[in-house]
Parts: sequence; structure tokens; C-alpha cells
Amino acid sequence: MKQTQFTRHCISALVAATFATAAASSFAAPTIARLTPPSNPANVNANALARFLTSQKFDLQTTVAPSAGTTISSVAFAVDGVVVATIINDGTTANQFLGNTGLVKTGLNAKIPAAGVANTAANTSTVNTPANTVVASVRGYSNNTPGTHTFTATATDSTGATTVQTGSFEVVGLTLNNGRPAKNIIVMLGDGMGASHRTAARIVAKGYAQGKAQGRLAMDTFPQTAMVMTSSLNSIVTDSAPGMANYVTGNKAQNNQEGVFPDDTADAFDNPRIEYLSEYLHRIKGTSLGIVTTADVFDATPAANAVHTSNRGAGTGIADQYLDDSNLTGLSVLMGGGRKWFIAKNSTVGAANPANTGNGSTRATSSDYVLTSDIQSGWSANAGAINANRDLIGDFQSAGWAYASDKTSMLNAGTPSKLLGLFSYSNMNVSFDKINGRRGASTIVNDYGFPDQPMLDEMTDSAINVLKQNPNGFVLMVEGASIDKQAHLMDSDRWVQEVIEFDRAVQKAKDFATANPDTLVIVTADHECGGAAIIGASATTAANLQSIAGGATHTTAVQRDAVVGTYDAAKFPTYAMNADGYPQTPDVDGKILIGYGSNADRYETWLSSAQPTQDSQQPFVGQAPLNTYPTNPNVRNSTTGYFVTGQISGDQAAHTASDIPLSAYGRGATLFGGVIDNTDVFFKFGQAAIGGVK
Amino acid sequence: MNFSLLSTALFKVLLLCVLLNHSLAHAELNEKIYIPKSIEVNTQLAPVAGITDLKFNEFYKTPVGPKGLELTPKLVNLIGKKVRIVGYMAKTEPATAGMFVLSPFPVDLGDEDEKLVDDFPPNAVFVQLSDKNLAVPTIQGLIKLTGTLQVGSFEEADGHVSTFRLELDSEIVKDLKQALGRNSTAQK
Repeated sequence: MKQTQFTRHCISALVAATFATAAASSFAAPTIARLTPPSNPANVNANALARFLTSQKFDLQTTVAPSAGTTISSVAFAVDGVVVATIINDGTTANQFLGNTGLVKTGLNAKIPAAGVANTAANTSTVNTPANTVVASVRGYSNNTPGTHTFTATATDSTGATTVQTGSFEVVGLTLNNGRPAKNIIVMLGDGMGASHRTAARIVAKGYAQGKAQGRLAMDTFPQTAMVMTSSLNSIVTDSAPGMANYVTGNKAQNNQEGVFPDDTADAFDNPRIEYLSEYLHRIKGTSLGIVTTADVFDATPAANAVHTSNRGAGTGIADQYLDDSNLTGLSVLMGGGRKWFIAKNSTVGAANPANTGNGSTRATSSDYVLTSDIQSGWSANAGAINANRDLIGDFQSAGWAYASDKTSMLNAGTPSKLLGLFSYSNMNVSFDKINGRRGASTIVNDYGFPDQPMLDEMTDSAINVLKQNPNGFVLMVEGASIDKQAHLMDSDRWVQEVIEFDRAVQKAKDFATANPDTLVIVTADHECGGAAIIGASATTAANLQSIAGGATHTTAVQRDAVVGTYDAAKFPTYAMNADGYPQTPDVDGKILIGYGSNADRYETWLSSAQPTQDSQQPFVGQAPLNTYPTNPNVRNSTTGYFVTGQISGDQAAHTASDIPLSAYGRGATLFGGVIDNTDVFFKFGQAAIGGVK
Repeated sequence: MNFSLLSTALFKVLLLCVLLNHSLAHAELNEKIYIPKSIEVNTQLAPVAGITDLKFNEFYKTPVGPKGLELTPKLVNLIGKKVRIVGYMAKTEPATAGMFVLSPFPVDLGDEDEKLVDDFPPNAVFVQLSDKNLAVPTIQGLIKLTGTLQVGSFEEADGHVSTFRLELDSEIVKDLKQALGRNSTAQK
């Protein structure tokens, strides 16, 4: 009996031990928390999420978490079963870099994606980063074989247990020798410009009569039109970083990130890179790149053509990388605002060097960058340096760039081989205020300290004149940045004029493409902003609107019900246009009225605001005379308008997920049509520039 | 944040996000405290002998030159001298002991991520407190501060590299401590 009991106990123990071993071995395997490029969560094989042109470079990366008590001994990457690289952990706690491979062990984020969803891009579930987690990378990988490829990461831990994760990406084949290629590509990017923004500008600038527009915007005359879906990797509503980057990398970026996939390290400049259109065409064809914007040049849209970072706010590093990586992008024109990133942070004390003291530099070591050596090796990229004291204007000049600080010096620069234009401290003033300054009607630009800023069409002209000197062609991105910024502020009269200014720049691009038929021009937007809509027109005179605003009663009855004319009451608003191309005044009798679908709280008078809403990035904001400018839409007109309750929280209207219109002109325009994803545009550029079009 | 709405009445009893924890500054919201008379702004300021009033719009020359901003001769002449500046205290949470920032407009420093890429204007003045343990919670509304102006490149306790410093008069530091002390006592 005793013996039987003993045997039974032994068997139980054996069974328990067996289970324990099985459990231990199943828990002992490493977890692959992220695999990059990201794959489609719905079906890995059916529809590759990540797509690349043949030979387009990108990084392979995986985040591997060991189970408790173990470490990761190696990570191997394979594509279609062929090993690309095997990275052996040297067992130290130091980051390892060898050639174009890297194993990062320190500086990881506190949270990583939760297990079991590593293949999905839409993973929002996270866990605390386990000890000894590593991020392994192969930099600058490319693949020349069109079709869908599987790639695997195999992680092995210190007990010999392995985990394999499989993903997919597609290499998109071009139709080669398919006709004449586009030598030049011009992307006219109206930031935040949806269909309503275009319509509003047409109504104001061209007028309607008996149901027909009396003229066309330049962008209206483009023969091909598509509707573009603008979502980012992690949201239906994108911000400007992915909104632009998706067009010029062919891949979905995460919000706030440009030219990279998301990762699990804190370093904002070490994310897995994707080769930009500018880099790809510069490497293959020797093209130049031009970037022209009315924003600060570090802003998301311009930077998402040339700079690889997961932090669109890292201004010092972004400004540096424009120059540092100009050998990769072919950058030859950079124009806009943002001088504050290009001047050395004051390095000397007090009056000893007053010229360099208190100069307003916003350069900071915290927003600067230095690249790990695997990125340098895989991408032939400049290392960068953490240096707030860098005189970046001086470095541009030393590298052969001409520097223009205002319209006069831009025009006087002629056609240098490279042109840097920094026309303001941060974002440039908007056309409404620049034009009123030129007309002598306001002193806004003087208040900002930059009385001689060029218009976007003038900048576009200068940019094209510089870029067209390259016999290999160019990529030019021109951004009407403040269509978005003023739509955020729900300053309707200002963004309408921004669209008009932008359209004048479109005309310059179209004129060039007409004279140089090997040029493709597209007009598009990164996303819609504001949910803007033309709700009708004022049913009263401008004088009466003024009188109501100046009166004592600011109610919906007085300022909405008696003013907002819908349907028949809207009629056809008529604006007088000046010889300078802009409306004589936005406040005409029966002016168009704009409503917002993603509006924040605001007060509405339906009249133009004499002063722009404050931009906290400007040097003299908050002090006389800028301190008299409204600080936010929720206080602007608070004593003259009626209150419109916002549908979203915060101070400003937001981007929306609405599709936006794209117009195409010139060589390859016929590739555009239908409803397309923003990443599709990249492959059409590739076909036009490399494969050619009939 | 709307300074156009601030009225004289508002200055009389200001809301302070108050704390008195010198080591770990975590503001407790919605507490009332009387703002020290020495920094209150509720009327036209009378000139004070030996102290020059420096306005935020007197820091830089306009129009802006081709490179960086340039200091005005008035400001350069005031380096190392007693000045009085009127402005808004930047809202930061948590407050940093030994300093705070005076800005020409009400500025709110958001999350820690954005801390060093922020909306500070270039002429933000980093106010230095003689008591390095004193963390002053945000005071809302205009305040006037008197101290010695310094210009240069300074590493600040909160990680910023600043250009303008105001070494706050010790009398004001004492007043601030007293105001906070009163509030702290009231809490108990």
C-alpha cells in the first residue's frame, strides 16, 4: 500500500515536473514586440502595408523582449528565407553597431507594444519594457525584385529558445521604357486645403454669375483630378508630418513622424528610415531638391521631404539635417521662415559680443541630433553633431549657398547654384498682411519686424530659376502653409487669401511646365483643416455688419439669423480684385460665409479681423504693438461677435479625415485619377520619373 | 490665458497654484493667496529713483536684421543695473526651485516632452531667486519685478539655456516667501 502511494506520488511529481518544464519552455521564448516595416494587421499576405519602389532603401528593425531571467543572444533578419544579417549580442550593456547593423540596449522607451500584436501597425496596447529588451536593425536595406516578400526576424535567447515573427512588404515594379520620363516633379502642397478652400478662393478671386464661375483658378485648369485618402499609420486623421511624408515615401507614417517608421527608442533621429522621393531620385538620376514654404522651414510639411525624425518639433536637428544630408537629397533651394533655428545660440556672455548675444536663437542641444553609426553606414549619412552654437547660416554659406534674408536680397541673389532664404524669425506673415503692408494699408509686417517678405509666387519663381540649372532635373515642393494655420484659427478671410496666394504660385509652376513639358506638377493637400464649408453668404451689407459688431447686441438673432444667407439668399458674392491679384477688401456686401465642422469655440462677426491672431512663435508677440492682437479665436471678437460653441475642445479648429482633391498637369498627369491613397502618389511619381509615360 | 479679459478686480485676489514643497514642486490647484504688494500691478506704475523701467518691446531692434535679433542700446546699457519689468509669469508644472520665467505674454509650458522645444519668446526673462530652494507657483496676471539685469548664455535649473536673467531683489524674494508661508499656514 505504502509502495503504491509512493509510486502514485512519484507519478504526480513527474507529471507536474513535465508540465512545469513545458510551461517554462513556452514562457522562456523571447517576445518580438515590433517588426518593421509594419505589416497589414488584417492579412499579412493579401495586402502588404509597406510598399517600396525597386531599390528604394528602408530599414529592417525589430524590438525583442526576453523572458524573465534570460537575455537575447542573437537576432537574425531574413527576406524570403535568405538571411540578410545576424546580429550577435556581445553580452555587454552597451549599444552595438557594426557596419549597417545595430543592437540598441539602452535608451529604450518605458513602454513597448504588447505581445501578440507585433505584426500590426494599429497596435496601441503597450506593456512596461522588460529588462534586457533590445532593438535590432539593418539599415539601408533594399530589394530589386517586384512582388510581395516575406521577411522574418528570429530572436534567440540565452537558453537557446527562439521566436520567429514573419511580416511582409511589397516591391512595386514600374513599367520601364514606357515612354518619356518626367524630368522635373513639382508638388504644390496647400496645407489643409480641402475642396471648400479651393471653392472659396475661386468664388472670391474669379466670381460667379448665373451659376457659372467667371474664371478658373490655375489649379482648376489642371486636366487630371483624383480624390486622396489622407489617413496616417495610426489614425484616420493625420497631422502634417505623415500627410506630406506619405506622398514622398510611399508608406504610412505615424502622426508627428516624418520619413521614418515608429520605433521603441527615445532617440528621435534613430527611427527606421524610408528613402524619400528626393533621395531616391537624387541617387538614381542626380536630381536637385527645392523646398519652399510660407511656414518656418522646420515645420512638418517642408521637413517631411528631406529630414528623418520621429519628432516634428526637433527644430535644431531638423534644420541641421537639411544641410548635413543635402548630399543625399540634392537640396539646393530652401526658403521660408524659421531663421531662429539657423543662428548660433549665444555662446559668449554679455556685452563682450553683443552681436551674438540675445539674438533670439532657439537652437538647443535637446532638439539636436547625432546619428548612430549603423545609420551613417547604411545611408551614407552625415553623423550630425549636438551643437546649439552652430552658425547654420554661416555653414550654408560655406557650403556654397547664397543667403537671402528678405525679398530684395532674394531678387538680388540672381540664380546662384544654391539658395537659402529665411525671411522671418518663425512662420512668415500671411498674404493678407503682407499685401496690406505693400499697399500701405497696415503695419502688421513691421510689427513682426520683417517688413520686406516675399510672396509665395515670387519665392516659387526664384526657386525654379535656381533648380532648372540642373540638367538632371529636380523635385520641388512648394507649400502654402498658412491655409492650414489660418483655418486652424478659423480666420476665414486670411486663409481664403492664402489659397489665392498659393494659386498664384501654382500658376508659376504651370507656366514652367508648359514651357518645359518634361515636368509633372501636382496640386494637392496633406489633409483638410477645419471641416471648412461655404455655408452661404451675408444677407446684408458690410456696413451693416460693422454697425452690428459695433452695437450692443451680439446674439444669434442679430448676427446669425439676420445675417447668414443660405440657398437663394446667398446669391453670387462679388469681390473687386486689385492689380496685385488680391481682393480690394474681403468685406464686401454679401460676402461669402464660412462654417467649420471641426470648430473650436469662437466669436463670429463675419468681418475680417484687422489683426492676425497671435503666433506665439514670433519674437515680438505679447509686447506692444503685438499685444493688442487677439490671442485666440475664443477671445477674438469677444466684444463684437456672437459666440459659436465649438464641437471640439481646445483653442483651435482641427484637421479632418475628409478626402482632399488632387490636380495634375504635365508629363505623367494621366497617371492620376479616381480615389487613391496618399501613398499611391509616390509610386505614380516613380513611374513618371523612372519608367516614363506615353 | 486671456490677458485682455483681466480686470483690476482680478488682480486684487489672484488664484495661485500653490505649493510650498521646496524639494519636489507639485502645485496644488485652486488655492487663493494674496499676491505680494511689491509685485502687484493694479495701476499706472510710478517711476522709482535708481530703477529703470524696461519694457519687453525695448529688448530688440526692429526691423530684424539679416541674421539674428539684435539688442537695443537701451538694453545693453542696462546690463548689470537695476531694472523693473512688467510681464506674466510662465506657467510650468512642476515649478523649478530657485527660478521662474517672466514672459511678455501668458505662456503655458505643456508636457515635459515639449519642455525644451517650447513657445517661450526670445526675450523671456529667467528670474533668479536668492533662495535656491524656493519654488514659486504660477501667479496669474501681470506682475512687476525689480532686480538686476544680466545678459549672456546661462544654463538654467530647468534645462533651458537662457539669454536674459533678472536677479530678483531680495526684498521681493522675502515677500514671495512670506505670501507662500501665509498660505501654507492657512492650509493647516
